[in-house]
Amino acid sequence: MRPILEARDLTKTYRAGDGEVRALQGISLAVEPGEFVAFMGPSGSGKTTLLQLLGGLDRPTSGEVVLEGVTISSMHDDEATRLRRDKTGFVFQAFNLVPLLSARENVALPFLLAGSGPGDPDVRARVDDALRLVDLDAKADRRPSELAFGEQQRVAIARAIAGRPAILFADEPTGNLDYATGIEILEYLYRSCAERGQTVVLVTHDAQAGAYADRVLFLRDGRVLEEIGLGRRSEHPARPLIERLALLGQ
Amino acid sequence: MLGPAWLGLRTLRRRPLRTALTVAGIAIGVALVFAALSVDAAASSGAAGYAAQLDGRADLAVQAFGEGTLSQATVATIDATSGVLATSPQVRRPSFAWASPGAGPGSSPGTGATAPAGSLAGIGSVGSSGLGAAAAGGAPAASGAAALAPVATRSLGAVTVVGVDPNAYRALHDESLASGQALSSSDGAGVVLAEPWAGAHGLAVGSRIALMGGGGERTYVVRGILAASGPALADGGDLAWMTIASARALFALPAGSADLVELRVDPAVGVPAVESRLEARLSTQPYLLSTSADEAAALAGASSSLGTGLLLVAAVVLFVGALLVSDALAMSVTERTREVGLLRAAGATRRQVHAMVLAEALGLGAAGSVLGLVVGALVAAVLVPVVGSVTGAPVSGTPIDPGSLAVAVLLGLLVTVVAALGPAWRAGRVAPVEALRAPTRSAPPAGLDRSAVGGAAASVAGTAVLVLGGAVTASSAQGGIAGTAGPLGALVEAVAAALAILVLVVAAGLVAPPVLRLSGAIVGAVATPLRRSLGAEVRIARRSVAHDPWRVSVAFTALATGLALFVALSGVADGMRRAGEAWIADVAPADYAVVAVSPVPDSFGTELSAVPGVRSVTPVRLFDVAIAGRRASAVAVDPGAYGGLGALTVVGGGSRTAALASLQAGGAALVPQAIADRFGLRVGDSLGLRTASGSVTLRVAAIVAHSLPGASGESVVVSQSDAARSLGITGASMFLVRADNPADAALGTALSRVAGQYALSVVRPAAIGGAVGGALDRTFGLLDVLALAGVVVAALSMLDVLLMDVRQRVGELGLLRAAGLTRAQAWRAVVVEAGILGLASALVGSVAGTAGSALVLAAGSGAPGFALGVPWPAIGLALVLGIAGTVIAATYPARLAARIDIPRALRAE
Ligand SMILES: Nc1ncnc2c1ncn2[C@@H]1O[C@H](COP(=O)(O)OP(=O)(O)OP(=O)(O)O)[C@@H](O)[C@H]1O
Ligand SMILES: [Mg+2]
Repeated sequence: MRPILEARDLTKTYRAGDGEVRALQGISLAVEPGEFVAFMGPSGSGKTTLLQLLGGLDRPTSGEVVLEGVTISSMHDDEATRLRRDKTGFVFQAFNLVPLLSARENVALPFLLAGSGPGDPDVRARVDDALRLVDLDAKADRRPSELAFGEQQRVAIARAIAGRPAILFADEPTGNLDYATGIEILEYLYRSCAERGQTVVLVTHDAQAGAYADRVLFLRDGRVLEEIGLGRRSEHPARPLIERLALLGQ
Repeated sequence: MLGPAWLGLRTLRRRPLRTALTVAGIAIGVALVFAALSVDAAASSGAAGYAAQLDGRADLAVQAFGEGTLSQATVATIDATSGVLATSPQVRRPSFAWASPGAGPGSSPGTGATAPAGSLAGIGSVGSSGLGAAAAGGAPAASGAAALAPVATRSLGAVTVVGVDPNAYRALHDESLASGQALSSSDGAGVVLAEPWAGAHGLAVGSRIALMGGGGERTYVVRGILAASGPALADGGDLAWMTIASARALFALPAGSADLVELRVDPAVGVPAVESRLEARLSTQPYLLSTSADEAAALAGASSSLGTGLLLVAAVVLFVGALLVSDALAMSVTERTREVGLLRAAGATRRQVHAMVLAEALGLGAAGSVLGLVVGALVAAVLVPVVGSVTGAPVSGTPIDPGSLAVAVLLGLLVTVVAALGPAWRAGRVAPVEALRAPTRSAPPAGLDRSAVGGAAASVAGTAVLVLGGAVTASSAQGGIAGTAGPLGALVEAVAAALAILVLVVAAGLVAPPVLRLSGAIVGAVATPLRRSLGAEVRIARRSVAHDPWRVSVAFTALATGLALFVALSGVADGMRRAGEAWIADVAPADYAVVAVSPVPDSFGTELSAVPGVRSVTPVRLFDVAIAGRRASAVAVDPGAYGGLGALTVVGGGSRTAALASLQAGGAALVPQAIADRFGLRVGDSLGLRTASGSVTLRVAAIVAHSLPGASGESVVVSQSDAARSLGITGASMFLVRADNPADAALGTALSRVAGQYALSVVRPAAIGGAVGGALDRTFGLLDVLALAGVVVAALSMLDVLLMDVRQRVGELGLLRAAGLTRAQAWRAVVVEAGILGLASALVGSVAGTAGSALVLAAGSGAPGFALGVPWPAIGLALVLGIAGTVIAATYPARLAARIDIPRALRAE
């Protein structure tokens, strides 16, 4: 099968002060449709940088990113933005929601940005559907400040999947949550993948989280140090990953 | 301890753009205040200099009152009063001149001279002839009217004849001969002319001119020409001097009499003492005393009322600048909440935190004031000549006046510091724990706090301006502004307008939230058809505006103030222009007015009627009367004919028809509102009128809105028959001419030809209206330019707010960009937000400005039924200015929003 997302020899160098930081030093990877991939690695290893390049939020210093057959990494900003709007969804560690908008409006945001009104029946159906998936249809009209942090992250997930994106990127979505709430969020991510065939790319520190993935890429110093195939979550427990990570010095 | 204060100054460097904007805002305010003060100073020193030139060494003048001259005995009494060092008795009255090729055409029996409708012709001009002005305006003798014979020579127009004793006159005045000789005491046939008039008519030493006076017409030889300085500046230089004996002969005045006596006072005795001695001794004849200080004040009045208008507008602009400072500091404090918390945690006292913010304010104020002085000096250099041309009064003096400089700087600093009090107080309240609190993305719960700060700053700064405005108004009023005369007097009312606007707009700050929502809805409705392409931007912008209205309320108030001022000035100018037109239609409903220097027989009207194209001719006679011992004007009309023209609007005492019928029946007078107010007259009251030849008591049949203005303001309307029977007033001083075709320009020429032969001149009332309108337009145009400066300052404030807004929302913008907001959409969202702010400000500014102008017009008109209108063009312009100004200000922040670096924005959280 043709990969939905491909990275070829990505490097990213930041200028910091008078020196340079080589955040990514040549990363190649491919993500298959419907796959759940996790990036793990120590702090500063380049996980966030990689995710941003893959999602078209930033441009690589060299190399290319191909999303559904189009090279997003060399696109004009407007094209890349539109591609992002239509083909990707993002969940960040925190502050995913526009504080001025209600949960429902936040979920509808990509449609809104594409020019549809929130009253559009098709949009409404998709938004309601996404909210149902994260079990928040009852609190759809609350403002983010009126939601618990875990609920806010669920709204973010709903937004990320509402547009039926080709791929969903999540950068430590559970980083600010307690254990139980974190698991809940991961369950929702997993559900979207398992029930709807949503492709998910997850960045995480946490082995419990990584264990939800089909495959884990372990990064260090801007390179892929190790690739760990796990298979579907329903078919494996978390323990083998944890042991493996321990070997890698995590 | 200097530490935190020094930190405050450092802050200014951290946000160079905001600092530059704020400094520019203060600088514009200080510049305008400085310029306005300098113009005022230049105008009053110019006026004082002018008055000094006219008055020479004369300290006092005694003028004949009403219909009469000062008798020989009175002149002698003045001369003999102790403390009087020197006197110069003079005859000073209007005449009409012809160039005379040889001997003048035989003497034609003349008549007494009364001021023609000088005030009508002089509307809108601010001139003066020094201490003798009133005498020249209307001091006359006999009142009959005799036949006139046409003259065939070239008419030179109106000129003021000044009859003097040359030696006594030179003791008080410095003449400077441009050519020829000075007048000698024994010269019975010579005149000396002022250079401008002689030059304009090609007269030189040796030319012969004929002058008309009450004693007929005589011919004189030009002996000398005086340069345009000293007394030759009076009456625009339309002056002819002759010996007082010649002048008495020309005007048929009794031997030894005079129209006025200028006198010099012994400095050891003092003017007030001499004034009271004169008052005690001069009991047989009515007279008028004026001092040269009065004169200078009256002259300064016109320029200074413009100066006052300028100052008020400038003060409002400075006030807008204060709002900008307050807002910039409040933002600075908000941004640095954590830093302030850290300082407090590290041991900084509240006072030190206050000092930090105040130091920041002082830095801004000092930089703004210095810059403002430089700009203000340039503005003053441009304004001083403009003001001269607008007021018609001479203006001189350097643009840089030390007093104005000090006041402007102090005001700039004061306003900045006052504006900083709110933010400083707020910074002082930041708790040390703020340093430990994680920064949150959701907007800080600043609502109430902010409103308190904004409201406090606005009201404090507003109060400061109010006090300033009050002081200025009071000092101008003391300076002798008449207040109601002419378009410039109305500037005093513009002052009241500015104050009213301030009050309205401070209140407007409080209505910010609903108005912002309203204009958001308007923009939303306007954008509905574009929903597919613009929907997201409009939605984001509306949310952002509605989210925290207090955030923008200060900038909103600033812009609304600037626009309100603009709308109000336009509204007042419109109203006054309309009132002027209505007034002309009310008192001189004619296509032409043919004005006589001295009264002519009514029968002259038949000559005018004979001119082809004339439909009707209505004679009126303006004359001076005494009411309760005070000088006033009256006009004798044929009630049927004058009323038939459509003149006079009755505002009290029944219908117009009934009022005209009472006038026709006799024994009745119609009193203009102004006189009714001055003498406390009501319908049905008895009104005693006295002239030199008689007196009468009439019943006030009605109050009219306006009537023809005479030498002393609007006139009491009486019937011709009452005037002739009881007051000895006959003849006509003006003929109101209706044309078959008002657009026929040839008629004016034809009338001028006939009128010129009889020493009459032709004016078009509509042209007077036009001249008034022109003066108004120039005056208010000048003020409008200043009001626009206020709009610019407010736009700077908007720019500042939007910048802050974009900076604060970097994370949110990053999120939106990640979710698919394009750069163009981000740009448009900020611009649409600005458009909503601009629209809201323009709405409030328009309402406040219209209300303000209505208040001023209502207060100024005195009479009910004044023309109240909404200045739609100005409102339209205010909308365009408000929206365009804000949108233009928004382009830079919008660019920032479009250019944010998404990964960095996301990381910043
Ligand atoms: N804008 C930037 N300028 C300079 N250096 C940067 C920038 N962004 C990231 N870096 C550097 O690039 C490297 C990779 O950073 P990145 O955020 O991708 O790491 P990460 O694996 O996500 O770490 P963490 O687990 O702490 O989130 C780090 O050394 C970081 O300091
Ligand atoms: Mg990271």
